[in-house]
Amino acid sequence: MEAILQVEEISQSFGGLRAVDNASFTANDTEITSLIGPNGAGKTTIFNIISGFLPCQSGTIMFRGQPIHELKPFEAARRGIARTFQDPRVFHDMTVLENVMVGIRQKGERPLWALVRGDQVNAEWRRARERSEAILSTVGLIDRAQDLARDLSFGEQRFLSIARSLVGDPAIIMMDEPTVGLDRGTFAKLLELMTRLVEVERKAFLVIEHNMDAVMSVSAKVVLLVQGAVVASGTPGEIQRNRSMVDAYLGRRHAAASH
Amino acid sequence: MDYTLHLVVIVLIYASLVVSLDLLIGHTGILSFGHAAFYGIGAYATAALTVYAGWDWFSAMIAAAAITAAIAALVGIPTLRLGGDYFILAMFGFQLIVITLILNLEPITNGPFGIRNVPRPSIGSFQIQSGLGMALFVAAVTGIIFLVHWRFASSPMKAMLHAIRDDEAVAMSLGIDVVRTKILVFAIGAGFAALSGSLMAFYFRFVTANSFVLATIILLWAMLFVGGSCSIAGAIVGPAILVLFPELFRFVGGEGLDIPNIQEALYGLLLVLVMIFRPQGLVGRRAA
Repeated sequence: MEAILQVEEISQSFGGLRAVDNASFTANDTEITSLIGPNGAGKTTIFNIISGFLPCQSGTIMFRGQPIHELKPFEAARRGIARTFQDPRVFHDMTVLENVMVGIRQKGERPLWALVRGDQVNAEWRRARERSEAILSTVGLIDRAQDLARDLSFGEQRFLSIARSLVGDPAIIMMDEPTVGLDRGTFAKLLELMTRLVEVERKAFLVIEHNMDAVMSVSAKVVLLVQGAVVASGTPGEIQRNRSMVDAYLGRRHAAASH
Repeated sequence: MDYTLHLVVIVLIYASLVVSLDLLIGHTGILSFGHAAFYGIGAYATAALTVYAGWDWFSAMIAAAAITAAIAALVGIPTLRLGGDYFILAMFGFQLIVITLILNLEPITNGPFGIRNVPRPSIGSFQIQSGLGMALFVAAVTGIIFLVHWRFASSPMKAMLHAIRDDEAVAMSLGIDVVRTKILVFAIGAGFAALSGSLMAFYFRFVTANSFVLATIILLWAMLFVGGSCSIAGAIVGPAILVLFPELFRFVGGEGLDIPNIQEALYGLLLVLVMIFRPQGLVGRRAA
């Protein structure tokens, strides 16, 4: 399996606090890689570094063989690295369809093109709309396309945020705790969607997750972080065999639940 | 008739100014307190270029817009990276600097006396003289500004700007170059404010620093939010109400000294009432 994302010896300090400590791991193409670890282990900080929201203080990050650790967030996004946030953060005043269409960059967004317009811009706009509708069908929100995003349930907003990150056709999607706040049915739908995107659309995922059921059932690889350092990584089976470690860092309940 | 026409022109000039302010505040979330300064720079550039340099009105207008947009870009590059509160403070500072410069750069601005005898625009050999002619001229330019704004607001640009307004971090994560876009929009908004300044200079044939002070910004904000942001109709309704409503008091009578104070208080009261009972503005759809 080919590595799509290689994180090599990155570190990050906030004042005296070493939030990420020489962390290295890789995420493979067309697989789900999970980052697990207790609160404060540096998972979200690593996400912010990879996606350009935090400058990389030391170490390197390679995406498809190219260094990306000096890119700004919008540049990382344009290279094909999508991310979602812990909250869905949908645009409340836009419709569901508009929310998704914002994820596609087009010529018509530039003032002169917007002013003059013309067939090229209109055609691109139409394609963006069709693609957005297709994505909404994929995530099961096409019936809500014309509703305001604020009127969606929390679970639907989560799916909308995923649709919005998917529409630009990224190679890897980074999701920060995507299952938080979802009921059992929605939870199952989300895992099913991720599996389908990996198998059918050939996407890679890097996921921060506390729910061990989710981690163990869909991940190809699990990376355990503690106090900013990678203490174990491997297949879910390998991580599970190392029960003492999971026990120690995530607590007994998680280890038990994972069986 | 002349009085009515005068009020129509004033409403139109303010409407053109509110439209460019709406591009910044309503659509992009750039809370600019510098708009009166850009309006003033445009008016002064137009007056100086026509009166001192003898330029024709069209070249002067285009140059005024370009100069003002360039100044806005230079000011925006360092300040638009700041967080919202700091940007607002920086714009207050900019406003003070511009007024001070206008009052002291006498070779260009004629200091506190302002620039007089700005020539009326002419089309071919026809020079606009009548009030009606000027009203049509102002209406035509305002119409063009509205048209441009409408084109922006009915293109993919709108959703991108609203994304920046609503959540900059998410906008960045979707591949939007937030800082560059904000600087660009800020410069465009300032350029259009300068065109309103040109209209003002041509109409009154006189520019003075008093027209571009802090009170002007507050009036513009009040017009935007009373009418309703992100609304083409709101950009007419807001200025119309805030220009025409105080004019009614001319006919009520009362002691002369009190009138301006009553007008000020009315702006305030109107703004408070609108925010309480209709936060989206009188004809707007989006809550402020």
